[in-house]
Amino acid sequence: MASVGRFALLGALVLVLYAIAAALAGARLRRGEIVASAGRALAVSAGLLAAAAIVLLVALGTRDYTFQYVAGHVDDAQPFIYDLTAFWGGMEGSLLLWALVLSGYSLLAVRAVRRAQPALVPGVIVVLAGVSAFFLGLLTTVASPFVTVPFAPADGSGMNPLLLNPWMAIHPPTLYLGYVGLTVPFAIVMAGLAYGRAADSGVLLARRWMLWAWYCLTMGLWFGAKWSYVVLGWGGYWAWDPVENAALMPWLVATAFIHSVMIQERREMLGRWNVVLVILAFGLSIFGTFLTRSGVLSSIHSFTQSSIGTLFLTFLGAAVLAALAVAAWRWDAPGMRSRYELDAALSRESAFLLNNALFLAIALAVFLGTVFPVISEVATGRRINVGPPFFDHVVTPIAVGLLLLMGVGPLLAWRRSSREHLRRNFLAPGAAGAVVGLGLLAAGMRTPGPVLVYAAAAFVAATIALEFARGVEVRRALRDESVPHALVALVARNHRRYGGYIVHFGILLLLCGITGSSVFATQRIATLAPGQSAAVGPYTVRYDGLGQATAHGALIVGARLRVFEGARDRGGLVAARDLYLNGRDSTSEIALRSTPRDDLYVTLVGWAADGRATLRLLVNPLVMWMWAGGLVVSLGAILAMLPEPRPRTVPVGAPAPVVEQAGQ
Amino acid sequence: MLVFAGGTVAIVLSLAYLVYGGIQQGATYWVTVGELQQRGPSLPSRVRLGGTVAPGTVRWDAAHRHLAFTITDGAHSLPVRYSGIVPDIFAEGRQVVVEGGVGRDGAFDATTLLAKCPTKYNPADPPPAR
Repeated sequence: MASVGRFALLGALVLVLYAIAAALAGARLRRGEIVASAGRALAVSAGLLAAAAIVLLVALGTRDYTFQYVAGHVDDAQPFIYDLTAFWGGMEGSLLLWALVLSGYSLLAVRAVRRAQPALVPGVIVVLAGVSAFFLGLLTTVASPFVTVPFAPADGSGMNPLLLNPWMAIHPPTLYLGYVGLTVPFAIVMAGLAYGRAADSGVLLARRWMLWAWYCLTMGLWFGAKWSYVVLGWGGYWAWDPVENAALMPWLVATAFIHSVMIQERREMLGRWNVVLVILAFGLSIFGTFLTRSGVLSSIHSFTQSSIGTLFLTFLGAAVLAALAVAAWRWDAPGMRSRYELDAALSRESAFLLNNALFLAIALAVFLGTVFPVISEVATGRRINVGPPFFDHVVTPIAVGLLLLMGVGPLLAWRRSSREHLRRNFLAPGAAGAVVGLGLLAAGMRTPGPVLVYAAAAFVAATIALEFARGVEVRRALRDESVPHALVALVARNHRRYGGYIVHFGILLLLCGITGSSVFATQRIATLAPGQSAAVGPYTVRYDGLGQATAHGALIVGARLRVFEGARDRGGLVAARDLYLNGRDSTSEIALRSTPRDDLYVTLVGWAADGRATLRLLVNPLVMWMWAGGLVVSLGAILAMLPEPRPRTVPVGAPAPVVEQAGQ
Repeated sequence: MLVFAGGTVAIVLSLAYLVYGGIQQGATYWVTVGELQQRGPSLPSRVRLGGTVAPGTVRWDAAHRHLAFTITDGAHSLPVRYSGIVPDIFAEGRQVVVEGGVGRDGAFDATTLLAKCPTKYNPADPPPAR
């Protein structure tokens, strides 16, 4: 059966190579049927990849240990569902997933491009097939998931128990959907540039794909944070680990693009800039895979030291250089050059520019911090690491700047904001921010950072509410509608704009949660005998003794806890530790009580023969706001991605409209 | 255009300033046990030490709060003291990274302890961190 998988991959490789050649030849000779055959080759190669994936899934599901990959990632004790998720538990499977997702995207992208910009189809095929060829090349040579051994071991070695978790089951594929999704806008923009006359429409066509990739990256990061929080047991959700940074960097660049593409759409500015952003986002997605797969950086996730690293770096360098060369070649093509100059420093455009600059500044800082050990080793011969303090120090001020900008930007008019306009727009939100800030000071919050963040958050929330309120008001003035009806109709008619505001609101919740949990967290470590209690934050936790159980190949030792808040009994919790019978691995099962105000988070650190247990007790405020923020972001992004009711292109070339609130 | 150029310069300068401050705050040298013993005094007081937990040397008190073990790079070894949260994946023979400095008695006082993922992910363990 393994040979079926191997041949399927080989066949897929041959077909994508054919697709590259046929698309190039078809474009050159202007022969539509040759280009069409390239498209069909892509479709068949997608089918072959799907067949290869099914072979691997069946091998995993039936625990066929003749497959080295299966023996390395599955064992008899683990639940069936994790046999299947072991598909992306290792490198070979992950690469296969990558190639599979890319082939699916390729089919959809080629179809969409054929409908919107038929001239770009050959270019899109060449780029997508080129990237596919790289991954298929890896899969058929150095990273084959179909390596077999003649004598199967009796049992597999299984996955790291930390990965046996529902969050971990969905986190990698979601992230991959995002990573791979960045290839599609890259292909479209490259095709647009190569074609020469469609650079701007290429970028605009790429926008929706970028939004999808951004959405998947966002959700992937969110799932990863959740996994880190509930499984790893260290009490946090983000550690500035290189692997996390690898996913954050393309997210930041994609976010910048989603904003700046709006200027290109409305003002025909920033064409070149957007092309560079698309190339950068794609490059960072490959770089992220390189980071996680090459072992170049020492991290908790550190990976293999094989030829994969070099291959990735070569491919990354070649692809980015080629893309930049194409961009330079078409630097003065229509759509690349800005049609208008920036009119005034105080305008929506300049707010977008600043937004881009800040997002890229964060991305650059994260990049520097991530590769700092490598840079310092090359430059000075010493390996110097910059840890979380570096990232916190650099990113926090810029993030606060972005938070403020999130409120200011939508209040500024396109082209130029008048004094009157500013006064009218900023009065109410500014007051809301001031009230919250002063209120927190009066309530005794003395740390300036959080006061600033929450005041800014109130200001931004007020600007968002104002936008909705004005839209509703206008509708109600024109038609006789009830408020809820007007609200729904407003969002439905303008879902991109209001979806965007909902995303902003979700980000606000997220930032409030991050601020609360990172500044106001309290922790204590206590060793308790049964019956003793420890106080932490507003809670008193009573330890009622240890219990034992066995399940799924592990001995589970649990500390029974009872939580009190003042005199109120808040119920029982169990903080447990799973000791795996292989004798080496152990995982925490945290005790968690979440409320909107705070999380009580208890891990069992250790215990003694006399029944005493050592507990780590944490109170993390506002963590639930973060998870809620993720859901709100998701809702807003889905709204923004819905298909347009009808094409709307209203470039604002005329003098700035006097009344802004009704327009986009 | 002038505003734009000025803004760019301001952003670049502030980023450089932030990065510089961040490096001052967050940078730690990365050393092996051998390097630390040879050139201990010339190194900054806080370093990141990578190595393997020597088998048979792990001692912790009854409640697992104070941990002592010997870290080795194969040729040299050094006792390490640590109190705090021990990562789930910490075990004898595994790769760890400790952050801290050498105490007066010659043992390494660690303030953070990071263990590397047991690499079920990989065909081979990564080489010792330098």
